[in-house]
Amino acid sequence: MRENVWFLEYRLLTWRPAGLAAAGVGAVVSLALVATLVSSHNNSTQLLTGGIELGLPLVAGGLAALPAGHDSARELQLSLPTPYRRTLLRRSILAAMWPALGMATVSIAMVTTHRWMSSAGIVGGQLTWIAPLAWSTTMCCLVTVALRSYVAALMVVSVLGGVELLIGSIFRDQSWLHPLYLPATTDTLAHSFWWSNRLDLLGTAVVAALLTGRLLRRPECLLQEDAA
Amino acid sequence: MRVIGRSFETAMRNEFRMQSRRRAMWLTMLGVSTLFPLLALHALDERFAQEGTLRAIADWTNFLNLWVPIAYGIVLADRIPRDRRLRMDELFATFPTNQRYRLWGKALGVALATVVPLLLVALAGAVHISLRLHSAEVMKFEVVAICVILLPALLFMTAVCLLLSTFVWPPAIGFICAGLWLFLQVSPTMLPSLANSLMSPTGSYAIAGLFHSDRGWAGTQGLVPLGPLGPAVSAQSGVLGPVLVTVLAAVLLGALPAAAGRRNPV
Amino acid sequence: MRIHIHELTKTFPGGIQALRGINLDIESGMFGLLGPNGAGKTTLMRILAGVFLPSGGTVRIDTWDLAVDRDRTAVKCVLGYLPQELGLYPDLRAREFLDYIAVLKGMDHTPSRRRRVAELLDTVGLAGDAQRKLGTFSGGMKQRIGIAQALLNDPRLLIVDEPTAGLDPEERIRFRNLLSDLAGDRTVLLSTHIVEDIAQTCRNLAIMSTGAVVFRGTAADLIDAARDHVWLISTPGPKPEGNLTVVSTLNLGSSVQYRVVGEVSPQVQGQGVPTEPSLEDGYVWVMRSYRDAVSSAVA
Repeated sequence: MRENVWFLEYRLLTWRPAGLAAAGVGAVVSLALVATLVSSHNNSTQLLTGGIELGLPLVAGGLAALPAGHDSARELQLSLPTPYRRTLLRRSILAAMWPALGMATVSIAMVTTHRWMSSAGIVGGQLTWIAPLAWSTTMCCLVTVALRSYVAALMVVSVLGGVELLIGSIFRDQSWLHPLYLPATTDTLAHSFWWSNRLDLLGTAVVAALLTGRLLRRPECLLQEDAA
Repeated sequence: MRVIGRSFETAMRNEFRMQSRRRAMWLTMLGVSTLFPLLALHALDERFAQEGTLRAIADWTNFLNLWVPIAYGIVLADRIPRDRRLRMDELFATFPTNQRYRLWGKALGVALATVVPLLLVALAGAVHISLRLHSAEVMKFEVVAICVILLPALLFMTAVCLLLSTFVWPPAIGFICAGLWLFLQVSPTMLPSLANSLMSPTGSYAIAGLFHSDRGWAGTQGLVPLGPLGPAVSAQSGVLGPVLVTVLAAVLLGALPAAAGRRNPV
Repeated sequence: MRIHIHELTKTFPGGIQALRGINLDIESGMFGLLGPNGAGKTTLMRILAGVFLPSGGTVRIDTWDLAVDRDRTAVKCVLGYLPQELGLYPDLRAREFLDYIAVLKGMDHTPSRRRRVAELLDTVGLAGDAQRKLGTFSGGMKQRIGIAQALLNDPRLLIVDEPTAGLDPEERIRFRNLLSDLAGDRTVLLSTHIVEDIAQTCRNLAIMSTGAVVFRGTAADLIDAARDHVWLISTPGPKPEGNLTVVSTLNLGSSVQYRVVGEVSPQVQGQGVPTEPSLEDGYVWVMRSYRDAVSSAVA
């Protein structure tokens, strides 16, 4: 039974991805609560939006790339008739599922407590977290496979997240960089190009997924020792 | 004493060599640290043109210091878990040499190697400013700025990331590094934090006290408010800030062998 | 199954040439692949297991061509592979791990898969440890789990790379016997640098060195190759001089007995007696001859 494989893949990944996702959601919610107490309702709303639009998608990206970065039985897996790409996809979905669930939960909580920032309404506004989630997971996998370094992927997305929060104007003010700008909902100045930005992120995610799949067709690249 | 010195020096030299030979380290550190300055070149140049040499240098170094420590911390955080993964820690534990000095040597070696690409980028930026402003003093100021803004921050991240890597699940360290660094930037008006205090590794007091500038420009470009400094801005506090951050980092590094030993009792 | 390898080459990025025009035909039964570390054995095994793609030449297994994606998948369906460094998932229990690999091998029918897992756990003597996590297994137990996973799909082609490395003598014997029992009408490819493993199990073998096949024949052929080149020399002094390889040394108290392989000079012959070569002597002789030939070609 194939469903058994999903359960066993979950066992392989252990509870850690769920734990990290829970810690991420906990941190975002706690900071928002503290911000409500010490500053303003607006600040806490912005923190929550930033959490589901930037922080948690990056956590999901890091978790999704983890199976491509390390597999103790990779040589054995490559000798099996089930394509290894499929196994990695299954694991990435399972790893990224937890932060995705966290983001969905936070977004529902935000809608019910009238903290929803997206001007695209409730349904369309779900792209606030879905588009960055797709972008981050596929991009992390691509960098991991292309550079054969999970650390490099983690670094690239973490720095990108930091730069977008601290000096996001670089991305906001140059239209050709919009496809890389994740916090377009949190940043009220970016609402003018919100829809095109979300579609750009989804399009980039599709391209990154296709490129990753293509790179994974050369199995030995995965077996070469991670230079990092 | 000689054995201690040898243990420290050998570990430092070997780590420096190993880290310097990592192609991925050079590619990612140079790539990341040149990419964003290039993307922001126009805005930076406009800002430099409006300022004097001293403030331009402070702005440039502050620009790097906003996000470079995240990349640096993540690259460093892999080193101790890697020893565990390759079972090298078991081998080291059988050596008669003092493990404390080996770990400190390792920390310093890996930190020195990782800082090289960042220093190259910082100095390249200073050369650019020197050409824009036709000022020969730029390089001198940049060396001071690196010493009081960039290096204390990187030393702080070295201590935090290596310490975290002794007990945190490796993939989580990257997010904690990034989260911590961003938290350290946030203005206390938004969230209670040490940002903009003398103990902050963001270099805010050095920028204000020694370079008569502020971190305001960067604060207006992003989503995180950087907030005002405390009242005691002076040349003394500009020096005291980096010194306190260095001492804090040294204390954390002092705890490193104990944290590593708890995981792998010798 | 019949394996036909023609002019096979493998070059890694950076220009490292691991295989240099391999030609081999392998029939059903046990086939041994000997050679020093770095000879290219593992690269050849990985290509046959579909893990690596060849850089040049052809590899056909029955009618399947390993350069073709679909054929490679077809080979994997009838393949059992035990890699040299078998990584396991430490958080899975033995039964779960085998069940997992069985599903990835395409065994979708749950009752028959579970039956097969239980049967193999019994075969490799791990039935009592089925519920233990793999992270708690010893090296020998991990190898046994490795062979069990390789046998899950009742493979027609079994490839085992250095399977006895790190096993204690009893486990090695047990493992060799298991492989011999399995051979039957299967093709079992055993790669090792332990000559004794081949001597006990394989009739046909090849020796590889620096990416090339330097000997191909039966175990008897290899023994014959060293005939008249193996001597037992007893001397109270230092080891005999000359271009000789000392295979073993036995301290007899007043003198030392050396077993040597090489061209023995008449002077040295006076100190010793010729002796019947073993497979190990044959291996040493072939490797010596190959190295000498390479040196003189370079000179």
